[in-house]
Amino acid sequence: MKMKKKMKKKKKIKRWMPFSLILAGAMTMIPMSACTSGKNSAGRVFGSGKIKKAKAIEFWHSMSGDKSQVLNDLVDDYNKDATATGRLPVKLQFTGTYTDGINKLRLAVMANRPPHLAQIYEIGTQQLVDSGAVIPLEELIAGDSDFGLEQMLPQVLQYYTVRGKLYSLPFATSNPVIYANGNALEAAGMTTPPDTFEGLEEACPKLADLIKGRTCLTLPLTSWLFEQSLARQGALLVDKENGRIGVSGEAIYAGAEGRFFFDFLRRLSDAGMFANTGRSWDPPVENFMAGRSALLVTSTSDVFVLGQRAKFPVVVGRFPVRANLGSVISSGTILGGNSIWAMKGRADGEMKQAYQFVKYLASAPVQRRWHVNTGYFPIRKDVIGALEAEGFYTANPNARVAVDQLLAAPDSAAAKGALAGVFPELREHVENAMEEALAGKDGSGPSLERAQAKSSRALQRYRKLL
Amino acid sequence: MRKGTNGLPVFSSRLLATCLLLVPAVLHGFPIFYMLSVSFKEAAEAYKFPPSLLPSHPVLTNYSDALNAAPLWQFMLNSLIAALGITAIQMLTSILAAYALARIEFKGRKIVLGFVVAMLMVPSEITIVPNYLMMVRTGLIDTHLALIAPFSASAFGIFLLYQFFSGVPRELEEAAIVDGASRMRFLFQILVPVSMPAIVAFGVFAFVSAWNQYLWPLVVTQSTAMRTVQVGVGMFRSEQEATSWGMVMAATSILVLPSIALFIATQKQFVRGLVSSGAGVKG
Repeated sequence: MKMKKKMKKKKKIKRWMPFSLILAGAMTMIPMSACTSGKNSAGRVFGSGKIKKAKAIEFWHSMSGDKSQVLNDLVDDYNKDATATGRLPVKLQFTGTYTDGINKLRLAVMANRPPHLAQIYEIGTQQLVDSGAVIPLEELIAGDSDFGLEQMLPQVLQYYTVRGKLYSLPFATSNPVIYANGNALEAAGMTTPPDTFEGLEEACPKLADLIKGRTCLTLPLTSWLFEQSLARQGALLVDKENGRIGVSGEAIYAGAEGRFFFDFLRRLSDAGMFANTGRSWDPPVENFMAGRSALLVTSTSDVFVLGQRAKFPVVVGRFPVRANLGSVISSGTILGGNSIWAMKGRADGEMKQAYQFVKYLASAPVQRRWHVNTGYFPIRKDVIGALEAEGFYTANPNARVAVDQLLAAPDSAAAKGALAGVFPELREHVENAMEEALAGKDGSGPSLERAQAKSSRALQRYRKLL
Repeated sequence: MRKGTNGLPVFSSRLLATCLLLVPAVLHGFPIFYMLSVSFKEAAEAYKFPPSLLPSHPVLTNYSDALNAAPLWQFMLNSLIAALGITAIQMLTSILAAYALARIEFKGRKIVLGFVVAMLMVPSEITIVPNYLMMVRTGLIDTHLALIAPFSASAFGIFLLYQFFSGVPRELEEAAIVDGASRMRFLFQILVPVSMPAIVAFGVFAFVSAWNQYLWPLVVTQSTAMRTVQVGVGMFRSEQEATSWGMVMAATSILVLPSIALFIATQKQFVRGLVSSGAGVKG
């Protein structure tokens, strides 16, 4: 019996092994040592690790700034009712950035002290599925007919549905949109930002004002936007249908579709129309807000904040498509953001309570508050319907764009987005390639191919470990 | 005209030195100045380009927002407890270890010293996993002790003081022992006072690096009431979205105060310590 337990534990730790290969940067060496030390001593040291009965549901999250306030309020409201109804209250714990958060979760699982619930970024999905340390949301919902799953948007659920099973609750979901400086649009004789890459390139000289030092476009050099451009062309990032029908072992993004976005940026950059501020998300926003760039491409989650703080009218448009795509036109964008995971290792009774909280977060009133206060879009049809009926989107057309874009996403592997256990590393390679392609002499092809080869190696390494 | 040792007139060599030093001083001082400036700016002005050096309508709302958004004073208290605790313990262990290595002949001394030097090259991030598991096992997670305990010894401190102690004339110790002092008495009544500059310099260094820790406090604390300053700042800074810079800068301005105060208070010893420990290195 004891042996069995030991074996199980060993297996669990082994299943987290792929994790160790994933992280780039300063954390690279930690999971490695973690796994070796865990493997040797797991049974002895942590096998008996009993977790004390919880006085509260622990919920680890990575929301900071204005959004953490909204989340705090939601939890406070839940807790107010909780004491009256004899339910466990929820204790929020901020775990740093998304990367810090998943690292901390990994440590906690190894030490057998997981929280009940954890909020993890979308690119951590495959890792968590493979870890064996989570309870699929579908299993928690089983038998509860009033969870409202039928009200949830299929376009949202499909991202977190792995091999036919819904694993986590999509919570803060977003997609990229294009923000335009209304004054610059007006000066160029336009009312909305261009909706194709080609149109954008054509309009750029009119939108930019190089004498005043205003560039046309600014965006963070993040792989997320590159992935979106692939999806828009109906192309895939990795094989096995973007990792949706099996564990992918090959990156396939260096084709013509991949080069398209790189070349687009390079041409604008060479013409002095693109403000390259590197990979961070903040500088492009500041560039745009200061009126130094006419257009900004970033997440829809900024839609309300930017509208309120800008000193000029902000007009939001859809993420551009490629013109003349003919029959393969895909109007989908891939979901971004994060979802909420239920962790194994806590008492069943507590997990039932945790489920109640998940249900609360998924409920229509909460989804509505979350949407109108943050800019992340709601995951429910009834919320969108009600807001529409009340004229919310007529009053806030900018908020409507991301929702429309989401609803237009087809049920295709490209629009679903890729799953990969080594996603953070893939992003690193793509972003390196982006920088190389913008700065280097040898163009987009070679840099993309190098990145693709490195990504494929990482994918294969991960697959071997499973 | 008076001439300096290098042949230049004293006045002009001073002027030259001042001018040269002014460049790094401005480079280092400007971010702090700008942080203060932004902390008084309204949200829209924080985004203005070209940025204004001084806020056109100074406001205090950023400070009240920051103080309302998170228990900054509690963060500061936690950081102080952790940093002072780490500093005190590290100073003590470093003094004892450095003395033993510098002055007591024992078997394997060179090897121990070699380990200490090797430890200098181990980034503390590597030890996070074993440390974390140890804290879980001992039930110390989410306590002040967990913030302090893993940093009870410092290879840098031992090495720095070892260098310094080695430079102190042996005759001093021989004289003390002839006068009947025990080793401990000599160490704490003679060697430590003589080595004050190096010890204080190390203390300030230990304090600042403990104060600036981010990853460990993030991992090992759970409740908001146990969070330290650096983790607290992380709560203000948004990832992947627009940040309210005024509020972040207000919070940061409040949170850097203790470090700056400590440095001002110990500036003299700090500089002297760094200079003299360098001079104490034997060729």
